[in-house]
Amino acid sequence: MKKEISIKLFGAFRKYDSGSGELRFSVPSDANVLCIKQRIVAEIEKIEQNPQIKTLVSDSVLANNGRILQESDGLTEDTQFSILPPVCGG
Amino acid sequence: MCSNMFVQVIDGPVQTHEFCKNLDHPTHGAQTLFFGVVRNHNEGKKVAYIHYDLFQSIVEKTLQEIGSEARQKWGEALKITIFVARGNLKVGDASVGICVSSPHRAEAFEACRFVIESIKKRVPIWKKEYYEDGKSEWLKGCSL
Repeated sequence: MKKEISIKLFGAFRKYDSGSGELRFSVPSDANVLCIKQRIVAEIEKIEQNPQIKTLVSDSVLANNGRILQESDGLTEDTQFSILPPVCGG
Repeated sequence: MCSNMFVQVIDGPVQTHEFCKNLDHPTHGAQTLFFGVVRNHNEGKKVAYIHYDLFQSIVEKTLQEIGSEARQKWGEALKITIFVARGNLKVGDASVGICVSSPHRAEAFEACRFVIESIKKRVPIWKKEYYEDGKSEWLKGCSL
């Protein structure tokens, strides 16, 4: 069973948005956060070959409903996520 | 929200005159102010301006947490205001402003330092520098 999710983009990821400010794709409904991050790499590589993208995604975290998720966290009913690259503060 | 804490995301530069509003208290003898300001150079490159991107809901939540931690550490009497900026800021504009009011100066200085150091490591704000030579880049930062 698959589920469509959206990933809101910030910072260095913004250039990969297709005008909507997010990426959209389907993942297995038992996917965890690590699987989603791997899929984000694959989706971005369709747009641009960037040798640093794997490291950037690996150093980033996923969040939903204002909560930062662990890589082992599974999908819940949520379908909207955000990917947050390393932060620089103010 | 605690009345001793105020956090706000501003579109455009932080207006420095906004600070110290509502921070006066008859038992407080110290107010420290900190402003982070856009600098005209970074790592040998001439900076024209910086674009600030942020995730507002997590920014506001994390700033509240940082302020609460400061008040737990240096005293519940502390009053703290934090403003952060979003959008394009030119050299000299303030991107972050912090004011801590407290009974004595030691905790005001220490708490203010704690707040800015925590912001740099924990708050989802991203900076894209635009240089005078027309190039630009997102700055590297700390993983959350």
